[in-house]
Amino acid sequence: MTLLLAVLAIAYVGSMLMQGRALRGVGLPSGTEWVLLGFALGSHALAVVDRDLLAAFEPVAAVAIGWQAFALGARFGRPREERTETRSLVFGIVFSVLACSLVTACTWLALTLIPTLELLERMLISIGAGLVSSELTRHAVTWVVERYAARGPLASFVTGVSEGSAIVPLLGCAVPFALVAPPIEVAVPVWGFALMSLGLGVVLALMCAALISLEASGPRTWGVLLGAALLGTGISFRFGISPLAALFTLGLSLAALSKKSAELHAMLARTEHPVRLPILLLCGAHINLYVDQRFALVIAAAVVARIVAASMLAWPIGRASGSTKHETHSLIRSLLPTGAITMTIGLSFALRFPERVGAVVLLTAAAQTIFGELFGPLALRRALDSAGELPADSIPPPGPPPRRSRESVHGDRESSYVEGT
Amino acid sequence: MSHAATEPQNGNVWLMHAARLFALAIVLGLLFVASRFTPSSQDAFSVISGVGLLLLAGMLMSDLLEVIGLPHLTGYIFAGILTGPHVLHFVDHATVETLQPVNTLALALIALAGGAELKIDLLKQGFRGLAWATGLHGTIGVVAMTGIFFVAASYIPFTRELSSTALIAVAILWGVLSTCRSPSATLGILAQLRPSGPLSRFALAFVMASDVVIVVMMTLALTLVRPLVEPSASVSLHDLEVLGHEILGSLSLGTTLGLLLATYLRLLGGRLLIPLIAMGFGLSEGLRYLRFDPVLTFLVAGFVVENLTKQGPKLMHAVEETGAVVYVVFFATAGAHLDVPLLKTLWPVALFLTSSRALITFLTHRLGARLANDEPIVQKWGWSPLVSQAGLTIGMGMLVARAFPSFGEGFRSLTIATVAINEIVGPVLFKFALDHTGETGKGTTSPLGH
Repeated sequence: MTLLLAVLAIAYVGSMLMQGRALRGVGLPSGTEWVLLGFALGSHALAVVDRDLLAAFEPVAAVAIGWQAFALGARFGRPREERTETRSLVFGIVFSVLACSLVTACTWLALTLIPTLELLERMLISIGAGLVSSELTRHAVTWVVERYAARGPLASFVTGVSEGSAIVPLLGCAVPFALVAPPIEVAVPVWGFALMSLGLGVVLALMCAALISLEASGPRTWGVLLGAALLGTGISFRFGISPLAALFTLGLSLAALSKKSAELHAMLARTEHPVRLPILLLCGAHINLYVDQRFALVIAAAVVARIVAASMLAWPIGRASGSTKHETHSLIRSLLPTGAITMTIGLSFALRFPERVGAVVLLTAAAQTIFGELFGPLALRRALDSAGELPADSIPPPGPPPRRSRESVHGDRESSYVEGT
Repeated sequence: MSHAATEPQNGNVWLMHAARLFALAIVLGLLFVASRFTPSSQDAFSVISGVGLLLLAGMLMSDLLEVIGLPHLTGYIFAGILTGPHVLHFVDHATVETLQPVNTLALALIALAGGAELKIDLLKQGFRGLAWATGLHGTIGVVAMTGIFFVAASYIPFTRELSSTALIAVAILWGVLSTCRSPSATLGILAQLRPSGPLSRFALAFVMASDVVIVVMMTLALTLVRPLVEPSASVSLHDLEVLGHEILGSLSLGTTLGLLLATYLRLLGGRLLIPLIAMGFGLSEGLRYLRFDPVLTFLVAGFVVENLTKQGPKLMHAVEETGAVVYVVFFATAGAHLDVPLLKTLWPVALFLTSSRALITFLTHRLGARLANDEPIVQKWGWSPLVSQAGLTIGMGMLVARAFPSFGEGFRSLTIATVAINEIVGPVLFKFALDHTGETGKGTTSPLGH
């Protein structure tokens, strides 16, 4: 336990440092190295962290993923003047829906290779694979844009697309969890359980908004936020509904309802990074490679389907961004990176479905993240270069990237994080 | 734990309370629905929702009870009682037990903050008063409470079958236990009200010092009374050796820890969340394993940071930020832990003993303060912070229970019953005294005048 605690603490400190000025731009764009480290330490590789230990850490993991979803939800309610361009957000949602649908359909078909699967398992795996394949991680996009000091319409638009792509998988988690919600004393249909996830978030947000309006910012506001997040996570698990959907809705609704949404955003943004790397580490430790080998084809189908989705939308995204000179084939690969949200969803599946459903979905998430990491950031750099949005001297410096001015269109968000810290 | 609620601009106080009631109704309603419609479970996820509930309900209840002048701490405790296993049953026994690590963390933070509040200059100024008070409470107080317990023994169920010598032993142990104060309750009140003046300074210094004194006195008492309970036993100096090791070890480790903390604060600024949590959980366990006293160790560490370095304000800020959340859960858990059925059974004798203790504390304090020529405010009200008892007292009670299994369980139950009363009444008395003396509402300076 000591070792896992130590590694989690290192991940936490690493996140803090990478959030600040010291180490920004260091590490892989999607944080894949932490997933791999977690896998190496996990029970299926070096077995430094065994299954019992992981089970003991499940509540910590549950709280962490809930908090991550909460912070992500609160991002969406930023004040109008700082909000990402609506059109790019819409494209992000469209991309996400398309990727999710295509991957779900393809994996559903691919799962016919495994006739022993029950119908419910097949549904859960295909929906889960769809959800973990529908994000374009903003961490990778921001990493490239910041590292190469990109400025221009394409960089701005892709950043917006990555923002918008988070909403579908996080809210979509309500569906598969509702399918297997345990029976309760009153008869509730599947859609009722799905709506319950969202309703729980809205009710908690109403309460938080009422309380936060009475409090000056400070420790008591933290108490309200933490209390609501813990309550939401605990109740979600008791009902068997998705904590990710509930907590994301909580953040989303709170940002919309509270008069202090900008302040809340700044508070929560400071916690998002320090929670991210430990989550990735735990994701890696939960990865189980010892599943039926035929699932490899299913995972491959998911990866291919996502490429198809990216291919279908790369050209419209390029056009909609207003950039006239970009390379579409580079842009296709630019839309491949997945990251923290994908892995978080994978982990929530692994916690909820400890058997092969969870294992396959988490493996799919890891495969998408690693595949995206290999091709995405380089392709995005090329796309931005071809669009003329990289400065002539944009060869990356050996150390952390130079500090950007707040006027930078694309660095706005991350710069504001730095100010916030 | 400073009270950060926005002050009402237009006398719109009732709207604020309505919002809080609405929020409390939502929180309790959600938990009611969850407990009513889902199968009861005692898994880790019940603990997660339990912590969330205690945190929110504690904060809300404290705000609502503030209307009638009760301190926040009382609100946290009431929230725990209300939602705990004996009333609404939203938080069950297993959850309360699982939350023990939060108590460890809270006690570490409380001790750190307490040490950091003790300034050498101010201790020197009040040394005469502290010495008199400590000496008289440790002698007259103990003797008087021993006598009262002895007199009341016929009404105390577990003493009826004890021999007269064993009864004397139990009475002595009770007398010592009665001098136990509550550092957590005192700091909780001071952190909420931010008072400034002689009463708050005296309370802080005396209660923190008494924390060390009680450990020594209880160890001595346990060693000395053993032959009275077990005629075949003899006084063993080994226990004193162990005590010496514990105190000296705690002082040494506390000093080292304080210097390390100061170095960390100097190099990395105020990012203390993780080190504080690591210290609260990990180091506390390590210290217990080494048989050192975590409270004393952290107290010394805070004292060192405040008095031997320039990093005191940074430490206090970090502890206050972390503590604001941890204290709520800590006191609410303490409320949930209160054995209400036991209190129903033992309340007459518990009430008699707590009333007697309060009276003895009052008289002893007045005598000591007069002899030390303390300031009039301290003479008149200095007894008020000494009524509270909480976790430390229960811990001492458990120590007795482990040392003497023949009557230990009854002793522990009576301890819990009396602590239940003192835990509720004590903070209210102290707040009343601070309000009455005008030490509250003087800005945001800390009790020792930072």
